[in-house]
Amino acid sequence: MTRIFEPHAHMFSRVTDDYQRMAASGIKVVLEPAFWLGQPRTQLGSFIDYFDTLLGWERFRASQFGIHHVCTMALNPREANDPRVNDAVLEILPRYLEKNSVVGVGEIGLDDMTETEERFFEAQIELAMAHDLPILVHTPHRNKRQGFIRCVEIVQASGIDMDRVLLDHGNEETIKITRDTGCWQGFSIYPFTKMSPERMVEIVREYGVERVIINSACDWGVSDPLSVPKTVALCREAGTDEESIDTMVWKNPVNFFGRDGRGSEAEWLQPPDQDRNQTLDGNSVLRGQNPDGDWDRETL
Amino acid sequence: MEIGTVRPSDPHKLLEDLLVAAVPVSTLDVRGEFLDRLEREGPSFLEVHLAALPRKAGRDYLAPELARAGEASVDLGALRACDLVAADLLIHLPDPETRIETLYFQGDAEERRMVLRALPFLSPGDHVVRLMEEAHRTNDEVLFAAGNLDSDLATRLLSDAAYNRVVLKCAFLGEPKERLQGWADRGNPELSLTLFDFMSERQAAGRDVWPDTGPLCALAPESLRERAGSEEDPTLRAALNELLQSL
Repeated sequence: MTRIFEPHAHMFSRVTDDYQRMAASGIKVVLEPAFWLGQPRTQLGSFIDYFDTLLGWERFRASQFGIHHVCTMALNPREANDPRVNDAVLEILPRYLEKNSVVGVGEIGLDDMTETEERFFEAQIELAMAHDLPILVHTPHRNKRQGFIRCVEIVQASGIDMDRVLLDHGNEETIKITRDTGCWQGFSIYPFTKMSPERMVEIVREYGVERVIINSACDWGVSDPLSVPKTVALCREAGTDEESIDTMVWKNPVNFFGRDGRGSEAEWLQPPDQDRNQTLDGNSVLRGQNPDGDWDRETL
Repeated sequence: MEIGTVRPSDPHKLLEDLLVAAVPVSTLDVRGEFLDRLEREGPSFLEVHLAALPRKAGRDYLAPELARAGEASVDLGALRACDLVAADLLIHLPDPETRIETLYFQGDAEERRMVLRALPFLSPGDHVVRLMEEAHRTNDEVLFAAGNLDSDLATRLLSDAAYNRVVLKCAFLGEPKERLQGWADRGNPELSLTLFDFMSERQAAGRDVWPDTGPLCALAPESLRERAGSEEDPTLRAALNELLQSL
């Protein structure tokens, strides 16, 4: 089975069935970028609890299904516009950027392309450089081409090594902007919008897989946590060779995020501690089930 | 396990000696770098960078040795290299009593573990007891052990009620009494009754009984004798008598 590093999934919003199906589909690592939660947060404490969940419960929950969980931390561009929280979140971010399961700064970037977003984008690129972390850049879903151009301008002006930049949510148009910049190019595969698996197959056919990373970006909305393995299957049917597939869904994200001793291919190829007798803060995912019992979802 | 050589009473010198003897040069270099930055940047440095210590100082376990740390006794074999370096950093804080709880509650699982493993090296007080009890409350086995086992803190600092709950947790987890240093000095009537109740629950369920139930109950068997005299349930009375005869 193809080994997969899913580099963008908001598992906070997903259910245990998703984890089981992801593990069964070859996903060994899931990266959860800090983002918004469907509606605006009104105070710093909501961010702290969310960040702590990404480091604690969600990581534990993933491990119970045999998946490593890592994350990126950031003030997301949508809430960067909100003066109730933006400065305070930026102030506490440094203490999260040295945590061992934090492998990058993200999602940062632009959404509405406001001046305020740009200010917090730039400030967080500086934080990434100070903590020797790569950045995961959210690009606008509206006016995407202009958004990509502006994001590239900002990261180039910042002085960050372009090899440490992943510009996400790309498509057939944006790859023309990014492929010669030296940054990594992310594609979010959605069932009905953004990129479809079929369109991704064509991009791979035309441009290859160098610095290409694909993800599901699954979240609270209509999205598919299995879109990466589904795209792998379509690529295979279309004749993409196995080495290219492995590069796109494993080696590329592992090489991009697995640095500075915060994770490595060797660590991620070993299953996480999956002892189902363990709890996190007294909580388990068992709901009364036998920890040693059969967890095949068909029997649930 | 042998008691280590006599250690200096100055905690800074003690930890320095332990570190030099127990960790590789690369870990000592990391320790030096962190101490320099702590001095230069102030205590807030640790709020950000303590998290990096496991990956930089190493997670290898130290060789088993009982070490004296002031009034405390600690089994170094339960500590990792990063735990010992963290203890050294924490005692260099200007006022660790007020700062360790911030570091603990802002920390991830590994930071919390390091803070708890440092407790025997800090001056004893309410701040130490609060974190021991917090570690117990989490119901996380790693944190429970880091805060309450492998030293004599539980037997020296906890009230009878808190200590008894720690022993019951050990019984529940199957941890050997030896991980509670000084256990032989902390028997009490309530603990014996608690352990008997736990034993009889286990027996009724056909499950294994904690093997250290007898030795712990033998420290204060009077309450068991009293209960055997008044117990009306014949099954429990028989179990009490059997336990008492085995002590």
